[in-house]
Amino acid sequence: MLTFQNLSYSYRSGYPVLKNVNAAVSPGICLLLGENGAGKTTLLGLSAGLLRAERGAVEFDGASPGDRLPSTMSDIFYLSDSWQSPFKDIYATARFHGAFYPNLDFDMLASNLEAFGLTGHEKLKSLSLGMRRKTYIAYALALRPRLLLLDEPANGLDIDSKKELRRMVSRCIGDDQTVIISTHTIADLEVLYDTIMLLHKGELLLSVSTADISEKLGFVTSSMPVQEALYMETEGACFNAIVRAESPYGSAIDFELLYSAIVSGKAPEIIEILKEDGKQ
Amino acid sequence: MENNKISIHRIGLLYKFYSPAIRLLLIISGTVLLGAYALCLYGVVMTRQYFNDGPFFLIYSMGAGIAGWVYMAGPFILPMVSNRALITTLPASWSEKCIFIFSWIFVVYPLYLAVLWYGATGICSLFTDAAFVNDVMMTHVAEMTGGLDVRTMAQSSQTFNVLNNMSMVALAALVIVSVRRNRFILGVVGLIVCSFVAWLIGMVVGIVVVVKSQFIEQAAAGAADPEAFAQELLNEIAGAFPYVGIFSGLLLIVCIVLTIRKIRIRQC
Repeated sequence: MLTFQNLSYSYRSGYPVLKNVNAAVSPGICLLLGENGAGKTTLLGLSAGLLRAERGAVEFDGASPGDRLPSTMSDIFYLSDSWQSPFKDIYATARFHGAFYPNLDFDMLASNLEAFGLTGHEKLKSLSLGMRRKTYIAYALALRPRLLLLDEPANGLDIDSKKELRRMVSRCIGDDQTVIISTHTIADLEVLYDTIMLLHKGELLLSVSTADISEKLGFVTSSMPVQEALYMETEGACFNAIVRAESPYGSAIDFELLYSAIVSGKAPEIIEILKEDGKQ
Repeated sequence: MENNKISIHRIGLLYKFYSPAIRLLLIISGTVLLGAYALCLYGVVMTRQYFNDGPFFLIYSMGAGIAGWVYMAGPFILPMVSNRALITTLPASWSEKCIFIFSWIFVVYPLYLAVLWYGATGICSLFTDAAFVNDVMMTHVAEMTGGLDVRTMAQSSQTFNVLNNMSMVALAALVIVSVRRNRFILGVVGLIVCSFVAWLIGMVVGIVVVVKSQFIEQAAAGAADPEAFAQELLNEIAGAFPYVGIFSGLLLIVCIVLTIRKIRIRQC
């Protein structure tokens, strides 16, 4: 389990990026949401051991990634949006870099690459941004780290590749793995998320399981204003609203609407509802 | 944790990780070193043939200088892998990274260069007795200067030379692990600055020796035995080597400690 305890981080200039973040992320796929500059990349960097906590602590299964112990680091992989392999192709990367990761699965790498229409012997420098991204995603998933951090994984991917990415993530991620995906294009992996963390101006506004959201909130689209809406937006002639869940079976989560509702601060009761039973 | 003790296996993996950069450096430096040896050999053969005539001594010196610079290239495998985030998060401890870097720059790489140099010397010695270029040139200089004992001075400067070269390599490594951008270029700049400082120290030592030996007064008065006077001067210079050696040794220690500190903090 990945935990953040009273975590704060500031840049050298003193600008606070993260303010007193507290959360626990269980194995599964977690969506990390937030506007530009909210602190998502910093949070991922701290989780990956790339940065060290200024105040508070980050722990992954009881060990601090900031200590950069080999036993911890071989369980964590962070695919940032600027991640570049210094090797000629992805198989060379797997041979030279992947050797540090005991769970690397070459068969999974081959099948992931094949699913993206790649052989793995393409020279990385000659690949387009999207193709390179696909190669790195295939590699990151095949490393099978227990904590996988993905920053905008679908960036630069075409429509078919995004669909393939969705299938690949659901196929490759095991029950013992924790995956945090930071993205602005929520729809790409929408059905896969188990939890959601919402950062706003360095503060963690929400950290909750999607099961809890579905159980407690309903997302409604109507041609008429919804009377009992906790939050509502208009989109053309439609009204998109968040209401208290009526059905115990839940409804599909509109992550973008939920994000807008919480960040706008116009619906504080939504957070209260989600907090009920101490689930936040 | 057992897994976090220094592991030879992981140090081996670090060598494997850097192996594309190591291979490239070995090819380039090997080629340059053999070229430098060829220059030295050519300079020695031609100097012997034409004695004092021509720029052949300079050609030898140029070859020897290039060979010296090749040794300094060891730390430059580090900036060849430019992704700092990748290196920082590599699952190897800071102590393993330190062992890897120092074993590479102070043991493995110099050993490779030595094998190449002495291998080339061995092969060439089958064809010419000039193959032992430094020895031959030393003998030649002694002959040129009418029996001046340059060999003793060269031998006494050996430790100083080794320390000096090691301190320069350590400084290049320090610069490379300290800076975040343009690590390659700044490493080269660090080496150049350090060479300049070494040259400056050499000049200061030379001036001190000249002043101490009353060289100018004796030269103006016309020394009775110029060869004995020159020998005395050489001995004076050799006497300064321990002090310069101590300085180089201190610089080496400081650079190593700071490099370890940087690696410990940033793991790069």
